[in-house]
Amino acid sequence: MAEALSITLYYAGRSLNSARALKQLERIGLEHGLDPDAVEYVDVFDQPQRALDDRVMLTPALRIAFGDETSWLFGDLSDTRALLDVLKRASPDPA
Amino acid sequence: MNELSDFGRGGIEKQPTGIQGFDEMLGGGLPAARTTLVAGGPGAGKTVLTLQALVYGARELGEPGIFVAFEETAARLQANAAGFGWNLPELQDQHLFFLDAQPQPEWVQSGQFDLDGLLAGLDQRVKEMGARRIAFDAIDVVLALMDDRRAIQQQVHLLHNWLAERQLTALLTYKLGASSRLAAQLEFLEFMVDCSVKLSHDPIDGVAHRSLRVVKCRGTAFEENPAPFVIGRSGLHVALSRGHESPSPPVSTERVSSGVDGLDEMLEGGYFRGAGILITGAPGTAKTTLGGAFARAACERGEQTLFVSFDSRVEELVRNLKSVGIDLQPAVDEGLLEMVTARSVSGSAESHLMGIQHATLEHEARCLVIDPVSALAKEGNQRFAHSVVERLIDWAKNQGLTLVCSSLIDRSRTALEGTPLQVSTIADTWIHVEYHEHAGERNRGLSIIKSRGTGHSNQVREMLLDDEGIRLADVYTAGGEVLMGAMRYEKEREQQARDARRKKDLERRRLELDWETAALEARLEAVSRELKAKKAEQRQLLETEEEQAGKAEETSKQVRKMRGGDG
Repeated sequence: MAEALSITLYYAGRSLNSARALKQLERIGLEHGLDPDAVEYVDVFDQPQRALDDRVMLTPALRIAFGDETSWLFGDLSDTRALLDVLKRASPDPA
Repeated sequence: MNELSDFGRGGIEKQPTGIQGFDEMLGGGLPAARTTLVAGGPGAGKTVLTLQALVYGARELGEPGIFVAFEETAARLQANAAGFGWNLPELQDQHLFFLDAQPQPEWVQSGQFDLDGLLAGLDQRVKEMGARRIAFDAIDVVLALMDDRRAIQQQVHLLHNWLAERQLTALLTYKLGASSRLAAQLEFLEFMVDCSVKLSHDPIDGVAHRSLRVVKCRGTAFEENPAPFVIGRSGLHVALSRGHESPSPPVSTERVSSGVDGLDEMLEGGYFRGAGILITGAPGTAKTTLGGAFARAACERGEQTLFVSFDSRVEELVRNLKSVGIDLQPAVDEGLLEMVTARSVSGSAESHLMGIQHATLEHEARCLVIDPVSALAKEGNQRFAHSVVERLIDWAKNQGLTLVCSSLIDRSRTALEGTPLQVSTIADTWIHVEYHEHAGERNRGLSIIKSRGTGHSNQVREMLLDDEGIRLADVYTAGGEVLMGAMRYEKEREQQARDARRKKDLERRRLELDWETAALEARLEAVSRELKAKKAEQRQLLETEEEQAGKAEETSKQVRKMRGGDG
């Protein structure tokens, strides 16, 4: 299950919303035993082409891919329920 | 040449959008390196305007552009653009880049966000392409995702600063809605930007009219009044009363026939080539026939001609005109005459104007008949019709077209009160046909109310229609009044009878004189013969006398000789 799950957080440098999202993801990851290696961090200012290619319009944005299914979350992740819903769908049986 | 409207312009550098009329309204184009807001309801034409400005910049001015599509997909936009004849694949991606930025339905929002991701990506693209123009189409879609007013203002500020730092000429489109929350957003956007334009597409009395208004344009003079516009085959055309696109052709002194001999005489040679002619009159006064006569005369000269008929089918028109001796069918068959019909209720005056212009150019017409132009002022169009007709005449002049427009006048008004459209002031020649009611008859009387640059008859002439066409009757006056109908006919007959009588008298007198002369000559001949005879007799007599005298002398000589000389 863990190999199939990939999570990408696109954030925008030190902007307030991005800083909040980074913190939230770290907290939830710890709480729910998310494999830290499964999370990729992309700073759109460092990798603008990547942002374009992946069509990241709004930051911060979280891309959760599980098998064929891809989910997108955008915002500072302050609404943890939305994040948990997505994670639950991606991995019905979290470790 | 200086135009009054040129004064007070200038200051800020402008970037033309290539949209006819719009650039003129803004004193040259969009303010360069600044942001322009284009607001309007759904379907108002915001996206077309924006896309057109970008395509023009990329194609004509070598200014690369980026189009950020928040609502419609890039593929759809490109398909729409193809419909306007803008070949986008040729421009992509070096000169025009489309970024699909539509929020996806599977996106889940979790808290606050910003546009940094978008701007970071765009930053990269701007640098790569050297972009000068950028459009954010349907910015409202993104703003709608934000919860509170402060967040929106913050992001709008962020965007505005980002644009200013990069010296981009930007267009933001914003879809107007009914909610007050959106109204507050719009107010803030309008406050922030340097230039703001509002598009509307409202039905007025059942006819949809598009119009455009420049709400503000900092640091420059602009056209403050709303202007109608249409979305035609090649994009937006904003209709300004006075276009400066092309210099007017030189004023012509060439005359073209009106198709009616008597009318040409009244105008001392016909209409001027390139003139705008207005024919007014109540229903049934043969305005259409005059238009038809002009069209036929034009075709006889071999000139391409366009006849636009409102609310009357072409077949009926051809048939009716044929019944008064004007057969247009041969010219239609030859391809000289193009007859088109339009429904006055099925579109705004503006869209009709555009249709007329397209048809004229397509047919390469030199002569144009609009029958009747007053159809443009039907319900729902009154407010705009005057400006449209004015521009029609203006445009026809610039194209060097000879334009004949008929216009229906309400019988309750008198001609001099002006036509409902008040176009009489801009027409060069104004012909009025009206019924004269007198002595229990109604007759058509034609008069020339004005004709610029030419002498013209001031007399009212009776217009006669028969199967040989239009004829203007000779003028008969009585007691200072031009006679018409039966009274004219009577007068005409009276005159003819008088003429015939006089002719007969003369003939008789001539015969009398002939006879008298002949008689005198005969007498002269007889007398002269008698004289000759008398003279001959006289000569004979004289000769006889001399002879006898000679003989007597001889006799006396002989006698003396015989007497021995003593006598």
